[in-house]
Amino acid sequence: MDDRHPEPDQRLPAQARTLFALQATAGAAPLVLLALGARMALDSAGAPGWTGVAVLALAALAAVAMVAVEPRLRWRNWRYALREEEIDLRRGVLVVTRTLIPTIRVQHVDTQRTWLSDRLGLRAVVVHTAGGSHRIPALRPDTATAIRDRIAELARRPDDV
Amino acid sequence: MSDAADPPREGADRHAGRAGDPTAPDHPRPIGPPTADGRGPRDARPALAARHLHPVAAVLAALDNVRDAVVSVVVLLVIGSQSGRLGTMAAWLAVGGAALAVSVGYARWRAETYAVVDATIRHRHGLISRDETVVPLARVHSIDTAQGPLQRLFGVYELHVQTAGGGARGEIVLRAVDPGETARLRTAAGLAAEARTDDLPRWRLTTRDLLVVGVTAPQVGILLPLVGGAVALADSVLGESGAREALIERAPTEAGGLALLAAAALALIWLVAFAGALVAFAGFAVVRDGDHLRIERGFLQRRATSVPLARVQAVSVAEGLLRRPFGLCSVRLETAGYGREAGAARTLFPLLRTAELDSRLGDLVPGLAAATTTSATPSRAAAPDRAPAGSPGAPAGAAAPPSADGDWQRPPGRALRRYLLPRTLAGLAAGALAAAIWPVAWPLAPVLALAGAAVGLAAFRAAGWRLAGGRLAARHGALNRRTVLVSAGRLQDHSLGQTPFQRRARLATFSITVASGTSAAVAHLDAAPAQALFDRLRPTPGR
Repeated sequence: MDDRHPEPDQRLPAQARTLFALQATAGAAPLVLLALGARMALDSAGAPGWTGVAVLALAALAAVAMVAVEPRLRWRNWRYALREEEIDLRRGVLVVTRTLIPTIRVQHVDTQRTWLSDRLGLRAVVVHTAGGSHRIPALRPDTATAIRDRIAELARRPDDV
Repeated sequence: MSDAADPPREGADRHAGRAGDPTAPDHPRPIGPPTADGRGPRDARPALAARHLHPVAAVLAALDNVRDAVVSVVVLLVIGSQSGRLGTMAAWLAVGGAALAVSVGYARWRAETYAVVDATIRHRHGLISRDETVVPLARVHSIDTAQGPLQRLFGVYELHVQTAGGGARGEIVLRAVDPGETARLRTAAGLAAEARTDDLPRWRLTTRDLLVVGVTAPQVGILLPLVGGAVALADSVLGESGAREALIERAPTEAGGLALLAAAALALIWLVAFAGALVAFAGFAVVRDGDHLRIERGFLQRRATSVPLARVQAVSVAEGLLRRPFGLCSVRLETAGYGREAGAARTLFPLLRTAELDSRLGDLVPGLAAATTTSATPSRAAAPDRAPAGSPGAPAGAAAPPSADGDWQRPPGRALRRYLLPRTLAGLAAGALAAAIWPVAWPLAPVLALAGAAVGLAAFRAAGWRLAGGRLAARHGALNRRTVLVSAGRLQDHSLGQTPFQRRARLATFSITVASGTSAAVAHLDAAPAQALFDRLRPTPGR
């Protein structure tokens, strides 16, 4: 890519993979429990033994994809860049989306932390515009603070909203 | 209660509610620069001493009480009817209730005051929790008026103090203020009196067009094909009943009933939409007065709203199913504060001939219209050489070649099946599901699949974008075609997305968001021009 149209180049820290995986576990666990319940129901209803096993295997496969594969791909595809004029985000596993937010449009910036992200030493940065909000989901605390302060500084230029 | 009834005096008042600050008995210092007339933020002299609303406010409050009490009164009467002394009870309830409503209404009126002090507008109200709302004048962009039937009877206005953050309802609502007091409040707030001259750019909805608005209301446009489909299905079932009478012996009556029901539902929907449009848009007029748009509308409740042009970030043009064939559209303002408001509060033109769109926009929202010309020529003069943005006359060919400024860029022909297939399959699936539940409904499957394909084709023909003179138009939709017009420099964000299928076919979906939160996505564009557009819209240093 030429200099006039730079691509985002900053990656999320490696701990982000863990955070995504743990968050995905919260979604995958009910799925597996549901499959276990379905298997018991099938067995007690007298369905052939393999149907229950198949349901369970499918659920296990989905759970592995959700917990092991998807978070890794999400982490691998995430890129961001903060330039004077714009915030540049690219993310997505299947649908890859690139978004530009002019810094002059930023209304305010938040950093967010949860119990889980604290354990992993991560913060999220949320950028709010008049049209909506955008989130960089996992950054090291010092990076997050630096980015937040820098965006706030860049956003201080007058806007006409 | 007597405390609340005293009009508060500057410096000796107490604060309550959200604006109250226990550590600062004086009024909190307002944020923001001094107002235009040079009053500093710490000027303690009240520009408008605390005063009550017009006494009609007490009547309105009493009526509110009556309305709130209706349910409990009915419950009491039902209980009373068991004991057989209904008449006595009803009489007591009426007398006691009326007395209570009137005294509470009066007390509420006594407790409510407003003032302009210290470069802020202050509003105190409430009997039990006494709230004070403080709005810095620097944040007030207009004081809007509304007039319900009762207010009109007494010649008073309901005032809405509007700030950048609030919606159509206003940060402060004063329910009854007479015209003289309204003017005084406006003057004290540093807002210019409304100009009443006739040479301002204006636009008015004619009575004939008002009727057209009602007849072609968008709700009707959406529901009409559904009801039509149901009737068609019922008819086809009816027609077949002879051949398969053993299977569907009772179907004729059911189907006839269904058709009747559908027709009744359609009539009802139409009537409600028609009445709604008349109530909302009767007497609709918009005037550009300096840097504000003043919009007046409403039948039962007359409203006058003032919108600063600086806050109009974009407009969106809707060409509904019933309006597009007649070259008609409606136009909505996209502003930062009104984003979550109901449609009527954001309407710029309830009905407009699409061909007139550019000249009307040039009159009333010159900032947006001027952006369509590359030079700095006045928008009026340049208006005729621009093709109407939402015009149905845009090239209907499949793949317009990427070219100079101003042409509509449309998805390439190879994107067509991506528009057709998902909707066709969805229609087919819905029809198959219906047939699985009710086998007689099997004709629904091909009908719905065809309908899906038609919708997909409409979506394909609608999709496109145009960048001309710094104004971006993005169009999407199928039955209801929507064009968002925005100055390229005022986008909140823009995105380019690709699914794995799109990546293989070198297609991409381009989307934008404007300040009201409205977004527009144009799907399945040729990836290279879409990427070029994405890059062209990047903010340049110094914009």
